[in-house]
Amino acid sequence: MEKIRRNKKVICIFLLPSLLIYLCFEVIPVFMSIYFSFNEWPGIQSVPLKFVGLQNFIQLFQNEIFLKSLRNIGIYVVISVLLQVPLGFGLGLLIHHFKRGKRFFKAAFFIPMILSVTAVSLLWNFIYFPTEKGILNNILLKAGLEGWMQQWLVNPKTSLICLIIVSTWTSVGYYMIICLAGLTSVPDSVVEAGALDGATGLRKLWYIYIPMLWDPIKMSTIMVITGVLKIFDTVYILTPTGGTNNSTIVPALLMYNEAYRYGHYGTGSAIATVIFVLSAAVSLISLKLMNRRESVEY
Amino acid sequence: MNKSKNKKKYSVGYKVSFGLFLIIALINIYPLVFSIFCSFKGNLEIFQSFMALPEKLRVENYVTAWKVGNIGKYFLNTIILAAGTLFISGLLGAMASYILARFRFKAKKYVYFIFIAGMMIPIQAVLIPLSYVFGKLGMMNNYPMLIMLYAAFCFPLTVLILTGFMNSIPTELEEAMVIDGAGIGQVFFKMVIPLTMPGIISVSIFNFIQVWNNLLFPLVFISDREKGTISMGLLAFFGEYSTNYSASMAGICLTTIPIIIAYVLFQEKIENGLMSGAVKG
Repeated sequence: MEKIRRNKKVICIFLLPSLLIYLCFEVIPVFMSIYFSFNEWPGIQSVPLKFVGLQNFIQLFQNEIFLKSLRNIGIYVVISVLLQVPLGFGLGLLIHHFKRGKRFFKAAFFIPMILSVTAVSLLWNFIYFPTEKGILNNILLKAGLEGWMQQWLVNPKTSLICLIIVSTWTSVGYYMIICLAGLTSVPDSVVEAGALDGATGLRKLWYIYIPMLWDPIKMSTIMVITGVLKIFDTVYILTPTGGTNNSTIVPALLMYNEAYRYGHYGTGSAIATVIFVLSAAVSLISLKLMNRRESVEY
Repeated sequence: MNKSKNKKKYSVGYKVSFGLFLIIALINIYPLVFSIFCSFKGNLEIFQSFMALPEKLRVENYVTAWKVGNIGKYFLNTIILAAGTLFISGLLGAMASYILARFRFKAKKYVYFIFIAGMMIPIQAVLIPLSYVFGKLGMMNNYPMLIMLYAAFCFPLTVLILTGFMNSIPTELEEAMVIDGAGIGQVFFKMVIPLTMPGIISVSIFNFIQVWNNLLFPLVFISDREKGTISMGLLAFFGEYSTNYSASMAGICLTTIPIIIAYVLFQEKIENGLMSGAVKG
């Protein structure tokens, strides 16, 4: 057996196919992308790459739209964390608390998560429809709140928050499930002991549940951040050009538009590099913060 | 939110808060219910009331979406892509995981690290260089290439989960098989794969959702509409038929209902599968 475990031929045959696919389609392109970001290329095969040094990055950080996209993604991240994590864990705790109808409640909040983002975004397009034919406007109209009617996705004041609401609707179920999984490892005896000590309602939440669920809460926060940093689909479908006055532009959408709409592949690559560095930094910092907990049992 | 003081006796407070929670849950799925209602309504009927049931079941909306929108074709395309991806990522991923869990060689630690590091790579980071290379080699609209691309992005999580899974299988079983004269291939396919199946299924569910939802890869690497995926197809159909609300809704429902049915049937499995992505971080 020991001999087999060191057999080079077996190791190569088993390991190389996936390793090669992985290197060719994921790892090498990342380095190519970084290289591309120091070049200019109009997207035409016959035109060679032209080395321009740091110019793409210099222009990028002087570009107001790019700075706006960083600002928007910052807002997106902060609001998403503040909405999705507390809502998800709140729902999880409520479902845990109510005991009845678990399957239904889980389904009601989890289903949006598994549907295609495209279908979900198109559906929300109906809700946010700008005239009184939009569901949201229609409900406001019937409720006698005409004054509140908006061109939700057009108005730069409301468009970004509308997108964040769609993302929250789709993701909250995920954090709910993480919370419920975390709760199974909270022993009943701890909760009962807390109850004997007079912990009820909010105190129970603060002194028992939040400390016991601290690891899943941290993990969820990191997942929200890394997920939002690369958000594209929802923004692209609901506001393809990035909204009025770039009110909803995010780096991934700007990258797509720069490269595939305007043919600025160098600029696009520079944005891709920024996205990559941002998400790698967040992941590495979070790994450092959580390294005492490397695996999750399931 | 409301919390009852005494849950054992189902006090008034408990019932009220339970009722409130039920209403919140219903509001949360209302957009889905609404889309199903609308898909059976006429175009004008939709705007008369957002709550009402359809007057009659207008199946013709679905026929339009299926035929004109070509949703059936896109559905099949996406299934082919997803099946290919799951096969490649499941089989090759399990093979690599087996080596990383059980074999001994110098670079093992580094290989494992390289695989896991891939979880930090967002798909945007590879788009432009790959469209450069694919364009150069004339490999746009090429399913085998796309499947390998999808699989590449599935490997990090697959390897992480399956390696962990295989580490928990006792080595004695393998040793007994080898002593009985089995080759390593037999050990792998007859013992390791069956024992790892729960892990493979979990991670495959996660990977399936990734492929099913992906919009960026097909948007960039598929230009031939005949080869489009469900996300692309839905988007194109919606663009052209944006005034035909009921047909658009039927198109949306055609893509969501199968997933909802699958979820209702395999709720636990799907939840656990998606939880496997929670090790990401």
